[in-house]
Amino acid sequence: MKFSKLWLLPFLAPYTIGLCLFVLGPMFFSLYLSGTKWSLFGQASWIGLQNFDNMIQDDIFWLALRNTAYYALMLVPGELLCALLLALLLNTGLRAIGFFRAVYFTPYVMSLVSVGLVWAWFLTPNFGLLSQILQALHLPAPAFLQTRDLAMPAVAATSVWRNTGYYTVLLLAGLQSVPREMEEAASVDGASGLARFRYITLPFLSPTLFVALVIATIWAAQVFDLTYIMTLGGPENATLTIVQYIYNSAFANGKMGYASAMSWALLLIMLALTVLYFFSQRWWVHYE
Amino acid sequence: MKCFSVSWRVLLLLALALVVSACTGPSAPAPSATAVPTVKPAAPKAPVAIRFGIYADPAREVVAKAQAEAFNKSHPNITVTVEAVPFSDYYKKLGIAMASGDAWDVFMINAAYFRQIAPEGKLKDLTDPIKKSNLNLSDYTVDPGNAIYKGKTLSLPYELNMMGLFYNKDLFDAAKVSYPTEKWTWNDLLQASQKLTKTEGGKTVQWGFYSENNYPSLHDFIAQNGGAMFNDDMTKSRINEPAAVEAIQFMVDLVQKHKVSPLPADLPAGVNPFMTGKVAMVINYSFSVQPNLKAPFKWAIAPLPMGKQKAYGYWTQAVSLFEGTKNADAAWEFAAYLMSKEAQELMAKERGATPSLKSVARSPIYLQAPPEGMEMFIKQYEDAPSPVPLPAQFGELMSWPTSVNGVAFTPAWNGQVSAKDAADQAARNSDKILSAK
Repeated sequence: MKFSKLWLLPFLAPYTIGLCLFVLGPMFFSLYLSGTKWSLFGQASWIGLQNFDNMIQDDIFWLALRNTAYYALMLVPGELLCALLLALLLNTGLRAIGFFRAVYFTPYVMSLVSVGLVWAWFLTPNFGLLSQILQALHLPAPAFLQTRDLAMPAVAATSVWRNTGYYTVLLLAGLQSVPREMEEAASVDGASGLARFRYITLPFLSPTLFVALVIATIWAAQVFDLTYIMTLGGPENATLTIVQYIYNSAFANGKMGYASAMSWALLLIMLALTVLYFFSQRWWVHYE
Repeated sequence: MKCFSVSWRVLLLLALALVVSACTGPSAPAPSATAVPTVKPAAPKAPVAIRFGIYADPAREVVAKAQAEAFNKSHPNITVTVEAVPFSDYYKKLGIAMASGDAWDVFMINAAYFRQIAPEGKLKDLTDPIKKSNLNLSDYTVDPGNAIYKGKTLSLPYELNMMGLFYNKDLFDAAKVSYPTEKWTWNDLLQASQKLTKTEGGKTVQWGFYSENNYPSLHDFIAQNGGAMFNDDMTKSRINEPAAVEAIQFMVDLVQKHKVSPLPADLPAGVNPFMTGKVAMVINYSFSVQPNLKAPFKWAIAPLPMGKQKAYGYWTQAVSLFEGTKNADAAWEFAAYLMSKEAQELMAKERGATPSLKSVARSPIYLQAPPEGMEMFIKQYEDAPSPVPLPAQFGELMSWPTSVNGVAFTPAWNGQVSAKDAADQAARNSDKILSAK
């Protein structure tokens, strides 16, 4: 490294120190913990790979993973598609674009706890607003959050409502980097709206879409607040997500070692998925 | 070179992804996301401040506030602050606080958590202070499982929690059904419920009895049928034995076959079912009296009906001192105060729970109306007490929505599986947890 570049170090130091102390340090401590049995009190006793062994045989672990995958499969396409639609609509040179952007972004800045509580009230059977509307229209009004098969889709719907705004803003920024001349040239040449979208807009948008996809997937896997507030993991464990199961194991059951093992399993799964995404770039992401 | 530059970018983006995944967005969940109200007493700021941790429900908060205020007045050098945490988060918060050395000085504890935490040495040994004081523990309703560990006394008895049959007198009068008596059997309960259930246009608008899928109700019916949820040393589940299955089937039949009981979804969420005025009878607890006092209808308490035998479920709440408390003397003074006649009478007056001091639980202050039937609590305790089993793995086994019982019995209550199949699943999964530790 050139001597003159050493002045970079003090500027990088605060962030790097914070990263090590609060992110990397605890991460590696939890890697150590994943080989131990520790109840928060007393000493951690080393048990090697026993936690991972128990984890593979734990039905609830696999259930939590399946639930999280189900949630992510509903959430990620849902929020990205809605965000794309909204971004395309907003990109039509609207005067009030700033106002609409703020409106769609607002759910994202609301506290997740209040979003969960209000939606749980909204979805309350017989007495919540949705139920009353459906009953007034003589439509079936099931108890969404209390029915095993409907609970997770209901939570995913809440999440789509909340997150779409964030991705709308992200994709809108990406859309505005699509060169106008290309679109105009294409429409002069007789390309339909759909063809323009497919061959011009989408390729230029693909880097932003890629970032949005990676972020959306990682955040979907981390879902905890909504399921904890709305259903506490019920009914019958239908909305028990992997992070909630880790939380329960660590703080309610006092199995810190086991929880750490599961956290690392989750990290490895997400890393694998992210690497897959990166390799898939070759086929659909076009960088300038 | 292209290969190298691609992997450089991949590494950088991977690192970014790692960092992004460390930020979970604008809100970071806290274990107790709900508010923790603290009560500052009227006395001026004093040199020693101690904290009293309680469950956040209306009855406990009213009583603890009154007790703290009275104590602060009579002890000007000590200030007690009450901190209430909802029961669902209470023990998680307590556990983390004890591990980090910052727990409340005095706090409520039940037998399940006592069994978990006593071996960890975080509860102060009270054997000597009790001997030196003039406390006679036989005057109180003590549960050894919630008090004694390896011969040492680690807690003081604070509350007795009995169960009772709360009934809505107005609904009984309107349907011309005679009130529940001590001689009531399950059959009497069913017949009265049938007369008290009303439907309008195909929808039920009033139910006779709330057959609840929770561990206190399950325990009552199972014990009254001669069964048990666990064996004596709580190492094996007995919930799929015929006696228990029969009891569970009866509870489920009340909902599905006789349709006299609502499901949780049929009632407004977040409201005590009894308070809605739509259910004529519920099984409620000593600490349910205070919140039900403001009911807009007349009500009273009757003993639980009997099955093959009488069995009145109960458990106790104790108070313990944190081993790492910085104000041991002040904390002990407050805990000893909670045992005094004055403090127990405050609990009796406010109807917080049944006082653990037996003389107060039998005194007119506690037994007087309103509501009628307050004497049923202590009468049941003396007649056929049946302690509710509270194993150390209580949360996983019985108490949370994601507990073994919650997951196994919800489909039974919904009529999707038989009580026997649900009980078999509950027993299987309970045994896994009971044998794991």
